[in-house]
Amino acid sequence: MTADRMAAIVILLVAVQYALMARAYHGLTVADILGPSAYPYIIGGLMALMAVLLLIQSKPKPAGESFWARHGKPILLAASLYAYIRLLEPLGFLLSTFAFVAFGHAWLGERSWLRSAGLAAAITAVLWYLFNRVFSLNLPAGFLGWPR
Amino acid sequence: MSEILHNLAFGFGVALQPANLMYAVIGAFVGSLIGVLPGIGPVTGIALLIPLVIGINPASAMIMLTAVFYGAMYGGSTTSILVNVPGEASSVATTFDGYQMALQGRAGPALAIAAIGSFIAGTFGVFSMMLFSQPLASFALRFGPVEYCALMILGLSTVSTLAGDNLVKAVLSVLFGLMLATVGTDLVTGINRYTFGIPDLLDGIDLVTVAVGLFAISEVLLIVNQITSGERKFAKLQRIWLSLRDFLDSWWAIVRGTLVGFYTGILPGAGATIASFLAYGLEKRLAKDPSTFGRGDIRGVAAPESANNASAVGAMIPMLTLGIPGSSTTAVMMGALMIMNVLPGPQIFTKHPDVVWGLMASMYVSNAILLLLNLPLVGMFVQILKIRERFLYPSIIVICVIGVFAAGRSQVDLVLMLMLGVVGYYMRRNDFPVGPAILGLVLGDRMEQTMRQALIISNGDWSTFVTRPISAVILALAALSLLAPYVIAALRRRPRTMMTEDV
Repeated sequence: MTADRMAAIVILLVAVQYALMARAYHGLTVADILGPSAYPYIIGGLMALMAVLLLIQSKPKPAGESFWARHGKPILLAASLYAYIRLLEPLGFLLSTFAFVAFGHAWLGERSWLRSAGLAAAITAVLWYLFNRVFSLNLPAGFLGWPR
Repeated sequence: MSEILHNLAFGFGVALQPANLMYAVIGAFVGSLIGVLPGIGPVTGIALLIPLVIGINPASAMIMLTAVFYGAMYGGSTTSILVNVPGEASSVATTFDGYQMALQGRAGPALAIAAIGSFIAGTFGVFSMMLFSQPLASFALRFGPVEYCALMILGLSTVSTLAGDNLVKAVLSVLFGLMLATVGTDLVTGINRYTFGIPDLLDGIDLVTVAVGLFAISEVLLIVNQITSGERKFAKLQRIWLSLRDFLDSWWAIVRGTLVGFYTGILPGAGATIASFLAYGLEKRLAKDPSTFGRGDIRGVAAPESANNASAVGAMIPMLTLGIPGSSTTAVMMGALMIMNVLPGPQIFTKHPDVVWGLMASMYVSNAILLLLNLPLVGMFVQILKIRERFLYPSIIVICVIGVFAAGRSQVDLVLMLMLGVVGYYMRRNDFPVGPAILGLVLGDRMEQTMRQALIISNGDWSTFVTRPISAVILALAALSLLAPYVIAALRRRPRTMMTEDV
């Protein structure tokens, strides 16, 4: 199945589900004629219509590389980003960022682990100092707390 | 006329305050950096800065964001010329002749004409903007909810038409943005829609999250497949100078590029990218010997660079006066204004004169700052590009995570950012433009509100949209813009090409 056809089917399902969910939203006053559900119906309906058009206009295309050859690296990056996001609060900004950046350097082609880790430590320190100390942005301190 | 001069003086009074001047310098510097860095463009850059500027007053915040916008364009053209890497889509046209000039050892004149062209274009743009925006705003004061709703439909249709080759995909992108906008508490009834019981979604999905996810995260996901260990080829950079002949050669290209860019910029949907390509194409068509283009013709740098700067100014007009952003960058800026409780629209001129006139004057000031700042710093910006990609992208992701976390302070926002990044990756791999989704998100709430108000006023009669003359004209234009590509294609299609087209 081509990417467009798959997209069209997924969008169609999402659009229908989106419109169906709007049935639960009731207006409170008679004056608000459209109420909270009419607009989602319109958006969902248009989206379903466009998905059908996309299905019609999509042409069968011979498959190229395999799924993993095309999307393998991005999926791995997305997975490591997910791990980073989930670990951000429990581990704290410093530890989780260091791990994510060091892993990223090594995985994207740096052979020397020492250089990956060294640069990651430096980058983490600079970003933390800049955003947490200079701009006083709220970053998760984690179980260790901030260095004094 | 005297009123314009008065406003101009007032605007410069705001823009030249020491604090605002400092914000402009910082913005211009950060913007240039963003323009040079791959993976972060003006949309992401501005979105990430929103949490940082939200505490300062709206006028200063907008001055800084505008400077970022401008700086990104300057930075983008610098890398286009020196390394053939357009930092932004709007400087792609600059690579055609700019990089060729650099290879011939004429990087200096190319950079200089880009800066001077941008400066002239910006100056013209700001002055025209002062002339145009107030009459437009006073006309728009007559608009009611019906007209505004129609206007937003027009904006979103032209965006769809101009965003890419495939109209269906562009419309789907707009609808996706409108859909995201419905998440959260409904302003009229207080009902929670599409929140799935998650308290963090009650306020809706944050613009910063969507912009960073769809633009930056998706970009990095796209790029990992192409990371190579090889180094880039750099053109040598000599002294930046420009001979009088170079300037005279490109004068008319600058003038035409400025005009094309400014008027393209006013059109909703036609951003700096389209403006720069139009100007390049026009210059090539008008040239006595078009074959010099693509081989290092200075006019091929002057025209697109003037056009993209002029269009950046032009795009501010519908955003400020009507509340209809013409491009994803202006959409994010409008989002920033709304977060600071400054609602763009005709009233902005009376309610927040310091924001409007200060912003206009500061565009001019930013131009001057960039002219002074960028040329000496070109060498430094080029050094940034020598950083290996494998060391660059993890840090870019971390900056995005910091920005989104700072804006929303929640894990939910980060997970949403990642999800939108994956969606954006899929969209971009399959030729769905992501820009229209941002416009949909920014306009969505207001579009629904105006639609509901319009029907309350008309007592549920939908024909109010076509019986009120201004709205009827606007909607007719919207329909025209959606159908135009098909009509043009049908007219151009000849029997022979028709047969080959479906093969």
